[in-house]
Amino acid sequence: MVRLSSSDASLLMDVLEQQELSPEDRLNLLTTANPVVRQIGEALINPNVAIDDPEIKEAVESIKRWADDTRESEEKQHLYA
Amino acid sequence: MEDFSSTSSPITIGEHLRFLLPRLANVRQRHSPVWPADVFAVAMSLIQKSGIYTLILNEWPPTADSGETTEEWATKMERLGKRWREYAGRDEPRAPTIVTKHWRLLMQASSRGLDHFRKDRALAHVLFELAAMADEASAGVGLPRSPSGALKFGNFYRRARRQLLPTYNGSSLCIEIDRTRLRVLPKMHAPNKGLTIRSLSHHLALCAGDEICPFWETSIAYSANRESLNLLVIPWPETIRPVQFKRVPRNKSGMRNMPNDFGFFEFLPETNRGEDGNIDSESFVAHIEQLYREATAMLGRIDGIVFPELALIPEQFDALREAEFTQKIFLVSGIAKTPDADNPFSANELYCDIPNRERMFQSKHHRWKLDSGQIRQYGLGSLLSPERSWWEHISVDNRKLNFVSLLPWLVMSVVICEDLARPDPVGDLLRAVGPNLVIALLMDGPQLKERWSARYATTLAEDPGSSVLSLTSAGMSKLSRPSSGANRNKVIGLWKDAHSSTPVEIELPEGCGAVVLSLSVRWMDEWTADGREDRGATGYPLLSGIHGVKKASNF
Repeated sequence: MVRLSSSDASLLMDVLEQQELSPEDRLNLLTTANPVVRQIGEALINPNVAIDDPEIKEAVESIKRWADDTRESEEKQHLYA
Repeated sequence: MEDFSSTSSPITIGEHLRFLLPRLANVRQRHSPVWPADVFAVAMSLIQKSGIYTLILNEWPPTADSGETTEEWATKMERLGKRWREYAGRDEPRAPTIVTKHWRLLMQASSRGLDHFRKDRALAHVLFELAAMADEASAGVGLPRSPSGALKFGNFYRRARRQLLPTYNGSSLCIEIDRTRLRVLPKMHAPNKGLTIRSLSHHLALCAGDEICPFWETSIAYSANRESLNLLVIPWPETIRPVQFKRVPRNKSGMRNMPNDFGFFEFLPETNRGEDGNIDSESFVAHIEQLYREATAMLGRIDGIVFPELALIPEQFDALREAEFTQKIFLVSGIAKTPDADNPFSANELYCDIPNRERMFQSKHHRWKLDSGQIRQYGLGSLLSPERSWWEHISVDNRKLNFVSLLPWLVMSVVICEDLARPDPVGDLLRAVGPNLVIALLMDGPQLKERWSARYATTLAEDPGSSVLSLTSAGMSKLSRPSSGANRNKVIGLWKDAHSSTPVEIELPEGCGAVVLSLSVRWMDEWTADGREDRGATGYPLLSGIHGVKKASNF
């Protein structure tokens, strides 16, 4: 299992959230990240990035699922609008 | 005796402000903080220290505009809070004009004592409004939020999330106010009984700075659509033998001068070992997997597994975490560690492990004291004399409390045994934040409604409104003999929430090795004492199912 620190998880949320930025600028957010976090972040920005490591792949899928579900839930509830 | 009364003087508003924000000593640095949590800390701490929160029920709403109804005032606070949220997320953050105007009024009263707020009610109202606007601005902080950067408040929540990231001394939402001075944390419940400082806010909690470090972790593992959770509760171990309670020789206790009425004991965990003498984690994991599969077949999904106090040793927990079936669920367990060459104390800790995140650790804050009644209750008299009291030989110097934000309706906190019962210092933090779910891991007898855990669970369910689960091991429950009446050692857990009239006893049915508890959310309105409603944004986890899980064999 991939183990993310609090700041790793927060950084990946930054990458997911800042969709107004260009892909290059979002990639730049990962400059200081460790290789695993960087790989997850790249896959979140570009779904075509190939990932060999099944644990990293699973982490990417899990974060994507969470992001989609949470967005859908908030839209339903009009939270914080 | 020399008279020192002439040298003492009451604290002034300015002195208190400079304690929180040292920059205010510089006349050019007296502007208002722009971040809501900083202003909240200043306003709420003044409201608390001056005790003026009791005025709020007499002067409702706390507005300078006497023509305003409570509803109009609350709507105004909400509107201004939202504006502040947007302003505070900007690249050049700022506070709304009304905040800076209020702040100036506060600064003008710097030389006054704290009792001035009782005389100058308009200034008291300024504090109430600053706190209310900051609270409204912070709705939803600390909860798992969607990556919806296009929303106009995205920057604010991103900033709040980064600010809350734990450092070596824990978490706080404040930017300008150092964690050692005062903390502000997200808040889940506004208590609806009594009147305290906690009655004044929905979303932000004022917490003491330095005595205990709170750590806030936000999960990105569970779908926010989820309106229920299934917890597999395993009252492990199934058997505990009295010989596992061992007296610690006085010369190893570190307290040689302790009176003879007291002694120390340690608890020795027992684990299966293979022929080579190594811990046999494989058969343990297989046993838990069988329970997990059985539970999943019954309910379709298990979201987390919970073990009681001192249930596992680190090697067992690690083996369980590595197993394929636990990869998408959270694990919580009490952990027993025996002394080693570096540490003469046993360790009584908990591990909390959510998917894809680093493990969270927490030590027990208080030693268990076994008295003569308990020694008889557990039949330990031949090992520990009932003529003395026996303290648990653990170190208690690492005091922290984890808050795990799992879902928009579920912030969870786990405590170990005595920490549920002893109100200081962990109790203050629990009451301030009001986690939706508190899990107490116990090494205790049956969890009967009449016993101590039910009393403390009821207290937390009433104020702040947390749902509480206490869990002991089947082994410890079986070891317990009642002084009178029937033996009810099948009751391994207890549930209490704000909406159940009495605690619910959780029995382990015959032939079962675990119980699944289904928790469902009920969204409820909560009100602050200043008349602000949260529009049903508070989630109460309620018990919606109890199912025994058959075990395949005796482990």
